[in-house]
Amino acid sequence: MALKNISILLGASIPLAKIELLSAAVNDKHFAPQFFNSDEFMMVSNMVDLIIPRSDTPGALDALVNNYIDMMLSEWASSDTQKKYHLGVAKLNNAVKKEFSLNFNDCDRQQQINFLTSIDNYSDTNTDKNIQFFHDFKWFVISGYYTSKEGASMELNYDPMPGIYRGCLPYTKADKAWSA
Amino acid sequence: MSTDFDAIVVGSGISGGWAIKELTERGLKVLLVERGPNTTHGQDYIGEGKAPWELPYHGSIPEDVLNQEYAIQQQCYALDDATKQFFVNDRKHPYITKKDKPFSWIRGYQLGGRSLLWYRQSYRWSEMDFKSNKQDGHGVDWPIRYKDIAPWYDHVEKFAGISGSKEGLEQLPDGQFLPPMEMNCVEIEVKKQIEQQFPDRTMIIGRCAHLTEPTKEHLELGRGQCQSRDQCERGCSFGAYFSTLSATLPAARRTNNLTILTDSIAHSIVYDEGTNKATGVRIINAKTNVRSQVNARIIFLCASTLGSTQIMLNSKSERFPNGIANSSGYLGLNLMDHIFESGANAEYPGFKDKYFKGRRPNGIYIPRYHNVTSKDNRFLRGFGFQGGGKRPSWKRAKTLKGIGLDLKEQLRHPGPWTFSLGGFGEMLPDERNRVWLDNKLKDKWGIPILNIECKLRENELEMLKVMAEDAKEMLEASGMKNVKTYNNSAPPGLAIHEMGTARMGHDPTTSVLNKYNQAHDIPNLFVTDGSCMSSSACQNPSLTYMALTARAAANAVEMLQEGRL
Repeated sequence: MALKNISILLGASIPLAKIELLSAAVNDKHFAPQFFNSDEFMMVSNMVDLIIPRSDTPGALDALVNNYIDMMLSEWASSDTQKKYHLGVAKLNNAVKKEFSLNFNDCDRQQQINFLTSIDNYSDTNTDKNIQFFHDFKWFVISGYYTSKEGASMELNYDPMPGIYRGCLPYTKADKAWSA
Repeated sequence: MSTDFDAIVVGSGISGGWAIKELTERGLKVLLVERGPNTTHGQDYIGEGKAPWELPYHGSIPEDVLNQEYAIQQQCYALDDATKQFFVNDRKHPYITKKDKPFSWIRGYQLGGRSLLWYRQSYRWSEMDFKSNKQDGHGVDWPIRYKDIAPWYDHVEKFAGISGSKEGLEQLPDGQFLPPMEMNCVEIEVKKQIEQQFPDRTMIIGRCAHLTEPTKEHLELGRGQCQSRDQCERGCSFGAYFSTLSATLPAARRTNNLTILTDSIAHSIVYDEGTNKATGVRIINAKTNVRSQVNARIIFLCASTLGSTQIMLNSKSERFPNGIANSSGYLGLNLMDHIFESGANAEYPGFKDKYFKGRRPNGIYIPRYHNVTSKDNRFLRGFGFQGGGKRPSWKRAKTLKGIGLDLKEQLRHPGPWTFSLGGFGEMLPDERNRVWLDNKLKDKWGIPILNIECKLRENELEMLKVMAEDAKEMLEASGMKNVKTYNNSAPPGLAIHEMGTARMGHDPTTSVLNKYNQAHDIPNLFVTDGSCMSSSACQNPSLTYMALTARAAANAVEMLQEGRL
C-alpha cells in the first residue's frame, strides 16, 4: 500500500543512523491491517504521522504506531470501542469532504494539518463528536508512541534500573524528559 | 503428610507471613494454609523489569477482559497486564452489596496474598489512636495502649526494613528506621512553607517498607537495596520491599518447621465442645474440590479481614450457631476502611532548572493535626495527607493542544512541577457497617458468599470536605498556581484498609478478641489480621497488623509452653 503524504516519503533529510528505521517502516507496507480497511488505514497512518512526525528522532510512523492502533482495535478493544473508531474515522473523513470536497487522504499535507489543528483546538466540552473522537485518537497515538521503544527510549530517556532516587538535580533544555 | 501440627496459620499475606515466622522461629511445627496457588519469589514476577513495549498491549488489559473479569479489581491503581495474576477474578469470587452502598473488595489470592500488592506505607499508631474509642464513645475501648505494642513495632520494623525520618511527633511515633528517601526540590519548598505558615502541621517523607540500606539480617534473607523502579506490584526479585515472599516466608522456611498447603480454601474451623477448643480447619482443594481436615493445637486466622470473618461465620456448631467465637454477636459488625479521594492538585511555577532521577516508590506524608492538641468542632478524630511533587512527562499531553513537531518538541521536555495532596481519614466504628453470610448464594466451592453493607456517614463526609479545603489552603500558601480540589468520595473498601469485623475489646459480651488477639470464647483461636481492629485511626494499618501478629504469636507460644492452651 502506498502511503500518501507521509513525511518519510517527502525526501526530508534523514540522519544516517535512522536509515534502518526508515526501511523498516517502508518495508512494513506489507502490514495487512486487521481492523481498518485500506482507505481507513491510510487515513489513520497519515494522522499518526501528522500528530508525531519524524524529526531528529523517529516519529510515530517509524514506531509503527499505525500498526499498533490497528492491532489494539482488533485485539484489545471492546466492540463498543471498535464501533467508535470505525464511525469516528468515517465521520472525520466526511467533515473533511465537506470542507475541501476531497477525502482526507487526497488532501495535501497543509490541508490535513489545518483540518486536524482546527479540530484539536476546540475543547472537549464541545458537543461535536468529531472533536471528542480526535482527542481520543490523538491520545491513542501519543500513548502508543511514548510507550514504544522508539518514543520511550530514543525520543525520551528510559531508565530501567535507576538505583537511588535523586530529587533535585540540575536540568537544562538540552536534557530530555524521562518516559517513565 | 501428617495432619497434626502445633499451629495452623490460615492465610499468607502480611499477617499470615508474620504468624508463620514468629511461630516457627519459636519452635512450633506450623502448617500454612493458603487458598491461592503457590508463588515463587522472583520466578513468578512475570512482568518485572519489562519495558512497556515488551508487554502485551503495552501493559493494558483488553477491555472485555477488564470489564468481565475485573469489574471491581480494576478500581485499584495497581491492576494492569503485568500484575493481573495477583488479583482475583471478580466473576469467580462474587460477593453481594446493595446498589446504593457499593463496597470495593480488592483481593489477591496467592501465596503471599496482598503483601505483593500493597503500597508499603508504614506508620505507627500513637497513644491517641488507642484511646480515641474510650474518649469519644464510638466503638469499644482498645484493650491495649501504645506501650503494649511499641516494642513489637520495634521488632517488626527492624526485620521488615522501614525507611523513614525521625521527627519526634507525638501523634506519629518514630521507629527503627532505615535511611529516609529523598524529597525533591518542590517537596522541600512546600514542607518549609507549610511548617512556617501552619505551626501545628509537619510534612515528612513517607515511611515505607523499602530497603534503602539493607542490614545484615536483610542480606542474609537474600534481600537487596531498592532500585527506584516503582513497579513494586509486579513483584521485586531484589526483595527490596517487604512481602511475605521476600521476608517472612524465607525466614520461616529456614527453621524447617514450616509446611505449606496451597490451593487450599479454609471452609471452616472445627470446634470441640468437650474441650472448648478449635481443633482443626476444614479444607477444600481449590482445584479438585476434595475436602479434608487438618488439626493443630492452636489456630491463627490471618485470611484478611473479610476472609477470616467469613470463615468464622461459616464455622457453626451447637454452641456457636452464628459463627465460631461469636457469643457476643459482634462478629461481622463495625466494618471500617479509610476515607480518601479528597484533596487538591496544583502546579508549582518555579524550579524549572531542576529535575529528578529515578521513580521513588514513595511520597510525602502530612501527619494528622486535627483534634491532636486542640479540638475541632466539625468532626471527630482526623486525617493525614499523602502526596508529593512530580514533574510530569508525556502523560500531560492529555491536556495539551497541538500536533506535529511543536507538540513533539514540547513533550521532549518535562512539564512544570506539580504537587498533589490526598487525605486519608479515620472512619468511625459503626455497627450498621457489617458483613454476613448469604443464606442462599454459595461460591463454586459451596461456601456461602458474603453480603457487605458499608457506607460513609456524617463524620466521614464532613471530614472529606475539610480534606479538600485544607489541601487547597496549604497548596495556595506554598505558592502553587492552578490549585484544583477534588472530592470524589471513593466507595468504601477501595483504600484496601478494610478492618474491624472481629474486634478486640475488654468485654467478651461486646467484642470477639481479647488483648492478645485471642478469641474471648475459645482460648486456642487467634485472629491477627485487620479484622481485630477496634478502630481504624488514619494511618496505613499494615505495620500495626505486623506488630499485633508478632505480639500475639509470642504470647500464644508462651501460653502453649506453660500449658495454658
